[in-house]
Amino acid sequence: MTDTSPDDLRRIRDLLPWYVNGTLTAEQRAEVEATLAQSQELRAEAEWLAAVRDQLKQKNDTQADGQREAGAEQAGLQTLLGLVRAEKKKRPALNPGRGHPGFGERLSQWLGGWMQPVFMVAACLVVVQAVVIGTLLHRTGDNSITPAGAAASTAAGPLLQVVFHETATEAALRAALIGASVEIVAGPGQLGVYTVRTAPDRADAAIAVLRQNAAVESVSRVTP
Amino acid sequence: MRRAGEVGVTDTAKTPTDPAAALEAELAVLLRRMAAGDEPALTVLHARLNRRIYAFALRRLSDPDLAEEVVVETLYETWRHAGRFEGRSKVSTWVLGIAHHKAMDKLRANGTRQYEDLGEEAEQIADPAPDTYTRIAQRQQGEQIRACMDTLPDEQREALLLVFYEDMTLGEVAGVQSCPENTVKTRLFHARRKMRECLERQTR
Repeated sequence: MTDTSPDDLRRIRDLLPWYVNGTLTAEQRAEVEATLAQSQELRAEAEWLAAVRDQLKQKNDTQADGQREAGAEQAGLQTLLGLVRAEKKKRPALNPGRGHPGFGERLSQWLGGWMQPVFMVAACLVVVQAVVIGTLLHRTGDNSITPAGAAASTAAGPLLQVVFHETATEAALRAALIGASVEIVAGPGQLGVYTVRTAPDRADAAIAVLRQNAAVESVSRVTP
Repeated sequence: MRRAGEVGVTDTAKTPTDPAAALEAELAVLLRRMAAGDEPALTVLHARLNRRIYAFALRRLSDPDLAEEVVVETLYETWRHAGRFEGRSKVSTWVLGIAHHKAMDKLRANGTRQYEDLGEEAEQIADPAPDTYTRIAQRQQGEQIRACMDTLPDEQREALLLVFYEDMTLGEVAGVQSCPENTVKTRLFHARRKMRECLERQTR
């Protein structure tokens, strides 16, 4: 049979779908093939997955390439362009070629008139206040955004990636992070993934707490 | 003034020879033009991607009308947020990620979303008999495969489709599904087990 460890077998088995679709790196592919050469069971599973993929991709599957009734594509395009043009009408563009002026453009237009001197005075006041508040925070050292319970002990802890359900409220999100004693170090990214840090010896506990939280969709460890 | 049919990739220094890479390069250019408000670029992007989005949505929703809605909503969202694309993934992966969220919204609105249970209990199940995979592979039909796929929770079915229909890498599937790569692997693990069990029953 094989002298591959159960953990390695599981890892290789997890890669089989990507071995079958041909997207593994050359190194991963070589590793999978070496294991397949030793394991008849994995070979049979890989062949089965390849057969599933082939049958799903058969050309007689009318869903496969997104073809549909003549005119449907054109109708969809017209609807799409209608939406774009309606939005342009709703918000007359500052830039004629752009339906969505940026915040800066809108702000500068708004400030272009009589508001400009008033804004300048207000901006100066804000800067002065920021300097005063910053100085006070620096003195007390209380400028952390770490949730209560996470304390400073997370400084060198492992990183986790957390994805929340799309319906999770900000309050639920905050409660989940506080409950797990983790602090946000990055995110949410473009795809809604938060990177959080736990205390060095609390990663497993934090993962368990987060997984039990109804607002959390998935948790995984990024660094050991 | 450039007409819709004339929008092409003229501002890339080097056109990739691989057709898939060339398409992605073109999509990136189109996205940049869309971010600058170029409507003809949106028309071309629609031409390049609408079938792929439709097929993706139809497989998720099994409803042609809803799939058409997903196409329009996805490309409208792409237009509105074109400037936010940061180039961390392929454009097509980013767009299908938007389509994923639109399809999920439809499923949720219809109350037909099938939630998954990614518990560990499945790992306790004994391995199948040695000849199980070979026997299923010899007997399974396309119809049976599709019927079994319909029994999978949404995220697992989608992950399987992204790998087998779209031929996406692990990282790309994670990008579309907005989840870590390990979650995708777990989804595929459960999906394969359920498919095997379902096909075992179907091909008996």
